[in-house]
Amino acid sequence: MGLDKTENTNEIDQTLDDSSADAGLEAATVRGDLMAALISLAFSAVGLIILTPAFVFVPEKFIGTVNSPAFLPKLLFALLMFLSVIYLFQSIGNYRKHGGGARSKLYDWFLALGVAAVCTAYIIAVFIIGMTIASMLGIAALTYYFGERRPLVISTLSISIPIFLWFFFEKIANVYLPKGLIFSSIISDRLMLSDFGNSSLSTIYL
Amino acid sequence: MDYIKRISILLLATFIAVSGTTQSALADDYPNRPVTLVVASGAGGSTDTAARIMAINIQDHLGQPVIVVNKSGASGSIGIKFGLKADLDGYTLMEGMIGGHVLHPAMNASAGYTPEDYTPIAMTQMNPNVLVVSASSDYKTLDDLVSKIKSEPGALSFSHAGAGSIHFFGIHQLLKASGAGGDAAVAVPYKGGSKSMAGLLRGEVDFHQTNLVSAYDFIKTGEVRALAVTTKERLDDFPDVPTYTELGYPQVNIFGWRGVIGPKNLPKNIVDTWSKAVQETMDRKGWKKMVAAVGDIPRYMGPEEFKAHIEREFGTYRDLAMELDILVE
Amino acid sequence: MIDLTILQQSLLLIFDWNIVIACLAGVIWGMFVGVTPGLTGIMAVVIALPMTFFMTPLTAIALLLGIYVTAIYGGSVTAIMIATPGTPNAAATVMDGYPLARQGRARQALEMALYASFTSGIVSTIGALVIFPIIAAIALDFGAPEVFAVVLFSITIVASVSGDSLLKGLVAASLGFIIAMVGQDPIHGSSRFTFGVHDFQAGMHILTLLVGLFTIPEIIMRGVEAFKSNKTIVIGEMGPRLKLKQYLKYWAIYLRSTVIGSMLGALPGLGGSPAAFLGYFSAQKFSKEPEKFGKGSLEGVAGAEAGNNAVCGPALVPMMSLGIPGDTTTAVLMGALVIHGLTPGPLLYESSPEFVYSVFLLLFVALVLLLIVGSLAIRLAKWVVRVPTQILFPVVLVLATYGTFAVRGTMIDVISMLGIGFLGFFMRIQKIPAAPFAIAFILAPIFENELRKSLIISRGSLEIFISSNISIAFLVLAVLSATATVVFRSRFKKFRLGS
Repeated sequence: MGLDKTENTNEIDQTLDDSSADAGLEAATVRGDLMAALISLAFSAVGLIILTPAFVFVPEKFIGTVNSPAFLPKLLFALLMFLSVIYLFQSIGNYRKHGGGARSKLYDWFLALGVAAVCTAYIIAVFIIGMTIASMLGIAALTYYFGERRPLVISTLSISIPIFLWFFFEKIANVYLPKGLIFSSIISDRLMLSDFGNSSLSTIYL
Repeated sequence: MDYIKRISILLLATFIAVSGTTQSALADDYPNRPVTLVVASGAGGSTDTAARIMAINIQDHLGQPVIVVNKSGASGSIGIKFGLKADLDGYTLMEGMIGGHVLHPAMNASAGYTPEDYTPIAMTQMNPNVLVVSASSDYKTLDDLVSKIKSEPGALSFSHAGAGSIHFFGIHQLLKASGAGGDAAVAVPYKGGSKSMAGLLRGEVDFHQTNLVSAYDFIKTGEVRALAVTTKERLDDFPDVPTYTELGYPQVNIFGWRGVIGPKNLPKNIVDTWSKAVQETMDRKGWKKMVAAVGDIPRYMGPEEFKAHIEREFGTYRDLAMELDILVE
Repeated sequence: MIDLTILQQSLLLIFDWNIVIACLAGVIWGMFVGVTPGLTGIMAVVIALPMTFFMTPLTAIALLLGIYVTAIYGGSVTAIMIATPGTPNAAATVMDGYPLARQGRARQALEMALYASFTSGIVSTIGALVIFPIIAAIALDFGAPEVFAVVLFSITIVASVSGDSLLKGLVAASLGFIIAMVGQDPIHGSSRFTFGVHDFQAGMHILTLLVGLFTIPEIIMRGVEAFKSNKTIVIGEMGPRLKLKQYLKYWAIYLRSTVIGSMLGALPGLGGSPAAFLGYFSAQKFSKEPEKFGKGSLEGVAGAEAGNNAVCGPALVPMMSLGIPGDTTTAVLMGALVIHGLTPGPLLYESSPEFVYSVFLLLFVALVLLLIVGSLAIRLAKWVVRVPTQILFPVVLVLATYGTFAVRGTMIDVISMLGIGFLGFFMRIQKIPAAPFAIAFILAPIFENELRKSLIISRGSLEIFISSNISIAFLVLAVLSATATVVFRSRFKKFRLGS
């Protein structure tokens, strides 16, 4: 868990600029560029060959014309592919010249993954137990993860903020917050599996 | 002690959060809490305005406030699908609009709903459609325009707010009725009715058919010329404009309408309560004044008549979409 | 030009305490909503809308204009303080405003944003009043090919100032463009890349994208940082005040951004966010220290903020003269007027010009009140800056989630926000700039729409793009801008990756 900050509340460490502890993560490396180029090349290829034909519905009249819904997407994927190839070659060139660059600490990556995982868990929780309760747990978990240890602070925040937000959104703004799958809700707009429709890759190619 | 206090606060909070989900028990004293009216288009638009006018005025007749909620997007299907999923307790209803409730599903087999999926409660107002051309154009009568379209297919263009909008279907009704065919004029899509009108004013297109309220100002100032209206009788405001029926095209009868619609299988007592309240509201001077200000014409249709009208319209436009081969699967 | 007698009449119309109080209420409410991440200006206007039914038309408009003008600034406050654009207009402000806050100069950033917004708002409203007929004509003269040319030109400007590496900027822009393709095709209505998920039909919302692009990566970064340090981290001091000299120094930026914003405001469909970005990029182009942009340049904040508030006045012109709302907020304003029986349009302008003028005068009132309330708000901001990161950013995440959900009421948006957030995080690590991504996303729908519409109108002929002076002019500018970019860069940097 995050390091306990509560003992050091008197020492306030101001982060002055981005060249602080996480410079390791934020510095762009050649190795990273290589990976980015490869990923974007792959993405554009997939987009051009698979995604556009499969997921863009083109009415018969317009197949192949400039006015087709698929025209710009294909153009863009092609452009991205072109740019990725240049990017790839440049990265390879740089790699040969300068090497891979510093490896950021794996620890940093794990931390980032951790934060991302907690955020994702929060969002999934919204689906299951509803936004208000998930936010209560989410604030508690996140502040703890980020290093807060004072139970009074954690509990006050995690209770008061979601309640205030619930009040504002449901009563004042008339926006109905998701209530979660567990509570049988009436009006909440939860994502239902049927919203995913009937498409699957198999139905496209078979 | 601290611990227990916290747990109890947590429990209290949970209770409050969950209590939003509890249903009202008795249908007899409907409504006994505020009703939500879902508008499937953006705030400030004409449907939204109509809904708000209804909401303010019907409160006295229902005994409870009516809250307007906007859920716009995807030609209304996002808001409408939301309304269709609502519980059958009558606390969530939709503002009915021809575009979202009839035209969109007529054109889109994949819309996810058809008129079978909802219960029409009452139509409240309508807006005749009027065919306009730029005042500087040569077309003085409908015949001028139609003969040009037929003699030179593809030469003229019209503006509309998207395939499946009222402008689009209205013109296609004309093209079909006059025998010109769906491809005789080029359809230019704009983002919204007012932009379509701007396109006409700018000369980007040759003709446009729209709700009277959108064209009203421009006809009065003389920037556009009205060639025909879709109502059975001539309009009071523009007695010189002939009706399509007079000109020999009674099939061109599209008109914009708004009303109140509920989810499928809405209990009859709720439908009756609402239609009665709507009728009373429509008698109010305040309501009439606001609706006139918006440019709509009050028109009441009860649940059965409304349902029949919708089903007729849906059939007509579904057939038209199939003939034009624009049906989206 | 202005008819002075009408102006006099309109001045009299607005000298009513009720009106001023309504405007003040609107400003306060707008500030509150704008400052809270995830609550947008439109939401504020919609919530206030029912209350306006019982007011007189001018009072209602005063209230709504107060909200309109202030929410734009309020969004910038959160953009500067916690890297969360409160409204889409504030997207360009994050890029330099937030680094300034991190450097302990939050106060200067906030004040610059306020004064720049005020300045450009006043100037553009005066412009709107004085050359009202000209602006109204712009709205009519700019048809599909012309708007397409303007957008094309904007895209070339963006490409020319995208950070260290042109290549990465272009990659980012292409990605942004592609993401914008998700949803319903604007011309035929067929679904693109929706994968059967119904809520994707309307595409991704701009706010979802912006919050995902700027806020989520920041949250992750701060999380990593917070984890590793055992000291309490705060964002920083508020810092020194903005000096008058500093404010006056950037007069050229205000002017440029005001012109850009006015033009974009007058064209229905474009609006605050393109204006903000273009104001930002034009400031960078003409700046003597362009490398500072993105790292905390007051010029960037000035350019962006002047741009986004310059749209207010001119955006009202097509609404009042033709009844064509420029963006969703003006559409709501129109709706409010319509309910009061005053349908904006040529008839209204002919019959009651003094009413039309008073609407613009109310805009002045709203801007002055914004200045006052804004300065107060800046004082309050100092509490935010002292909040420790471990509390602040979790709360920011929760607020961002609520807000993203509330925009369209669907959790799909929240999932998209998270997805874009992860993408944004990787982009940030590899120094792939976020700004071209964002602005490509914003401009893509307009680009495609106008392009295809022009081709439909011209029956497929490309001649339409050179058939009017305006579109020729902008196309030429686009070509010039693009060649200048390539020439300049290859002389000095030659497509470097820039790590």
